[in-house]
Amino acid sequence: MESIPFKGLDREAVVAWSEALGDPEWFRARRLEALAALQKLERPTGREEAWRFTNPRAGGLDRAQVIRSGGPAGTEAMDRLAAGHGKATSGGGGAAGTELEAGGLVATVDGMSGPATLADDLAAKGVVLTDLTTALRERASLVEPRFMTVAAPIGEDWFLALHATLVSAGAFLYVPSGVQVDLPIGTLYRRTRAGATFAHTLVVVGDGAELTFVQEHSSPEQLDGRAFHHGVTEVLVGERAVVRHLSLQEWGSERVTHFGVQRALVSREGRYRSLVVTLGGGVVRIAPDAHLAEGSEADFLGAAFADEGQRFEHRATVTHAEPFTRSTLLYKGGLLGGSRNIFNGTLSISPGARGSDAAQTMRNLVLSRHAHAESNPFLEILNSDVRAAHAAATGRVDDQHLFYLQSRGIPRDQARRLVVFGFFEEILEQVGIPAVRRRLEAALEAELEKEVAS
Amino acid sequence: MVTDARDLTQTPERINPVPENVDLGGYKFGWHDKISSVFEPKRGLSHAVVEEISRMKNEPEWMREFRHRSLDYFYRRPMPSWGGDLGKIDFDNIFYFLRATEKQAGSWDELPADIKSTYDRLGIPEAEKQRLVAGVAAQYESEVVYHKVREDLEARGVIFLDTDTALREHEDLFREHWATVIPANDNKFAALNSAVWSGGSFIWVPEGVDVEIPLQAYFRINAQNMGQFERTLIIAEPGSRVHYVEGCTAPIYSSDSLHSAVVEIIVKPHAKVRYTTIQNWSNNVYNLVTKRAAAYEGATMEWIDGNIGSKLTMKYPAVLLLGPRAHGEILSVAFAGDGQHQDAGAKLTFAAPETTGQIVSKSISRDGGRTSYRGLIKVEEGAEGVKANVRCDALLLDEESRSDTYPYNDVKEEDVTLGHEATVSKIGDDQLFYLRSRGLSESEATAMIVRGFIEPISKELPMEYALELNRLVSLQMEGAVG
Amino acid sequence: MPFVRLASLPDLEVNQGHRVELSDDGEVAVALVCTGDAVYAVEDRCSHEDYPLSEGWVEDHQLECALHGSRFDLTTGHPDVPPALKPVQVFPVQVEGEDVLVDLPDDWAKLAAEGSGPI
Repeated sequence: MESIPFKGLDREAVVAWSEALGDPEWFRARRLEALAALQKLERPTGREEAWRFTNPRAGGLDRAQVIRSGGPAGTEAMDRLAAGHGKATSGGGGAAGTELEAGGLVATVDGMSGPATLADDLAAKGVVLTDLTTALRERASLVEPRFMTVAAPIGEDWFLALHATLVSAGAFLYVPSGVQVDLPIGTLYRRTRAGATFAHTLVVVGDGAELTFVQEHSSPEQLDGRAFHHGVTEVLVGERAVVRHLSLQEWGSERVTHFGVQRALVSREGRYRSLVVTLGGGVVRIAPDAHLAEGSEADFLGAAFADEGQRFEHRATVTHAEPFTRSTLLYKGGLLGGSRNIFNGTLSISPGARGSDAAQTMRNLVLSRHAHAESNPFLEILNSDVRAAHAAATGRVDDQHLFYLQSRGIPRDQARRLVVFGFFEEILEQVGIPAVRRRLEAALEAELEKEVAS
Repeated sequence: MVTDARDLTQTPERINPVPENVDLGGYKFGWHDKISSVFEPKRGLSHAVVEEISRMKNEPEWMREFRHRSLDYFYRRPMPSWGGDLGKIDFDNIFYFLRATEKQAGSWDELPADIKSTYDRLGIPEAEKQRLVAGVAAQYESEVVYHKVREDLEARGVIFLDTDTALREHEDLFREHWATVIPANDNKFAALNSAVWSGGSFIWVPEGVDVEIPLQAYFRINAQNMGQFERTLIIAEPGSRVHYVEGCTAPIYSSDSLHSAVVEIIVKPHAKVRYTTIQNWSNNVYNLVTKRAAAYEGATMEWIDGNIGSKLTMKYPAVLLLGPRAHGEILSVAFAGDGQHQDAGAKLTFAAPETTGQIVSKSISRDGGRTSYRGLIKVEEGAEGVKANVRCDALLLDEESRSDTYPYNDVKEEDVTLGHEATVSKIGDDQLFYLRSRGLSESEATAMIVRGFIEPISKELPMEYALELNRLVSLQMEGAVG
Repeated sequence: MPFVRLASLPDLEVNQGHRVELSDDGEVAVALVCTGDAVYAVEDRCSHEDYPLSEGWVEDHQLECALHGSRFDLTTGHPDVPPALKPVQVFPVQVEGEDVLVDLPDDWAKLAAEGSGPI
């Protein structure tokens, strides 16, 4: 296992880290650029507007070791992850007992990625799926111009600079123009031990291509200490391409702190759908962001269910940069116990984006007296020839719905669960992958069963 | 952390030029005789200036100390990092204590051309023009009305005075309620006001009394109107009702570039207070106002807020709902034209059960103007059964303008029904087409649509304000007035 | 509830808050205030919004939160004006020579020890 303490990060330490990771020259230079930027940027303290709701120092980063663990636990977890997701095939029929049929998989455990598996027919069409380390070495021509240059630029903020300095694992996915990838591609991130990890997913989809990719985040229920995971996902959607991006936060332990940044650049007439489902983890902050070029579209869907002690923040931004763009956002949250869920959404329409159409809806269903829900939908509109609307509602389970169900002989607890389930169905039914959808529904049911009637 | 206002001043742009011949002569509604008539206007802010203000007014010791402490708070509070651009305010270049006539234009000719033309277009008669120029609400033809209202108020025990006089004549009552809703250190500009306040209204309505006629500044004694640092305090005893109106839709020129007023209102159980404001300050003014009401059991507080003028307005009327079944309502309309930024909004804090609230905000931007709605709905733990609704709509009349909406909804209770909706749009082409096909010109059609857009709020205004507002809309749509 | 050494007297400036963090994410922290005649310790977090009280002004044995101005009594932890409505925790202080010792709740004391002393 390689590790580097977060405290006292300096050039020497970063060079040693880079060597241990086997970086090619160009990437070592990039890391050092990032370190230089990091040293000039101010670390967020929590007073900044962007960090108002989540403590940027959560997760024990200050005293953590940044790790890349390939030990036995790692490989075993990796194998199990991959097996659970079925053999990579395409065109029907995964192996018996598999959960998810995937066209390709990369699994990363505790900051270390295993080799990618990719269906033969996809490889034949020119699709590339590799773990990050391999991509940096063998696909430099594709990766170098795009890695944290436009979508999530290194120098933009402290966390991005930190990420580029320390990133150790992740995946690279490239779909050439015109290629339809029928089965979803999975990038799996798992934590099994304490420490901090930085992982990156770079997805490049050519003009007219089509892709669904799923990011799963998981951990066992017990962890030996605090785990901090920083994930950055960059998605470059080509002209007229269609990309569906699912990000599932199903961490089993509340000792996990997860900060996720997702940036999509959508080219002309491209379509990007982001679906974020957050059920697990202690402190989770996911920031999906889409930038729309002329004629393109983005649909953001989100479901979050927070239980006692969990603090979730979902911070979405959609920028309509050019004319005739369209976006929708629908985020639904459920809160139990003394939990906290915050939805922030900024819908920004630039001066030149005439003919644009955008809508945001946020709903928080509060299921406990001690929960804390916030919905802050922001609009910044600089062009008049647009339609922009948003709505936010917060409340508890409607007594009328409950009464209706109870009058049909359904006991109150069950009626309540049904109503909550129904509330989230609108989002879950958009999860186009049956196996994943079933798993999420089961997880939600399990959460609801735990709830003691209030 | 910034501790001194001097640290904050940028390269001063002279936004507050000294008038050449400042006339210190007499004027109609002047100060009490005791105050010395020789006073040198000084620029800049300091404890010495604050001391002088307090001595001039002959204030009790506690108020003097309150002012000094407030100045300390002002110095050590940082400028807000959100909202409008406050970078050009030069605190050292402002007169903090001037009497009414010294601040207004000395004569009709001195007014800026666009203001003069507005008055002409609005058909304001000569006598009225003088009133607006002087900034003092002398009602030449309304003497009779004035006296009748005053008699009626006195008979019922209503106290309606300017704030300075109220402090002198009703010190105990005043002190009991002063700065209880907005403490001196509430925010930087409330602190400034607390240090240099002068003028404003003090109203006390006895238990059960219903004041039917809307009270306006010119009905009070010593109606020094439209002061720069006005401080208003309204106390409605249980079961009482009162409606206070301030401001004017006609553009008011003020050579002061910084207005920082504070309005505190206490609505005791089952009382009802409505406070209507229409401001149309000239485009050199920074209008930063703190307005907040505390509403107790079964009480109702309504803020009607119209923002038409100023270079930058930052104002978020707030209601603290502190007793069960209290109700708060804020209706806000904002217009922003070339070079203007209206950063307005509303705040409702629900701190008791069964409380309810409603916010309606309508804003219109044109010619590169910017309107921002900034609002907060906060439901505290223990506030069960809250029902609240927010509706913000914005109209953008052209491609250069901007509208923002920044709502915060913070809920710590389960039994809550909270909804928020906002839309931003332009005037529909089909709407325009229809009206034009009926013979209306483009600006007439636009004006009609805009009036319809703001109707939910303008229908709550006193008649003459509503009429003036509608006329103003027509003028603005013609582009004849800036 | 043990007494833990959190600072030494020379560290403290009169009428100014001094922050001592016990957890590395800053969530658990104590504000020490020396008023010239005594030393006080309160939890360094405003009960209204998550903001460190140690940044605020000290006057008349009250610590003011720099964000919205609520003032907390240093002996009882109670706020005098809104927006803060709930009190903050206060901890007994003992000064022995130059050591400032604060009587912390068990879990806080544990944090202080774990981190090999306050950060």
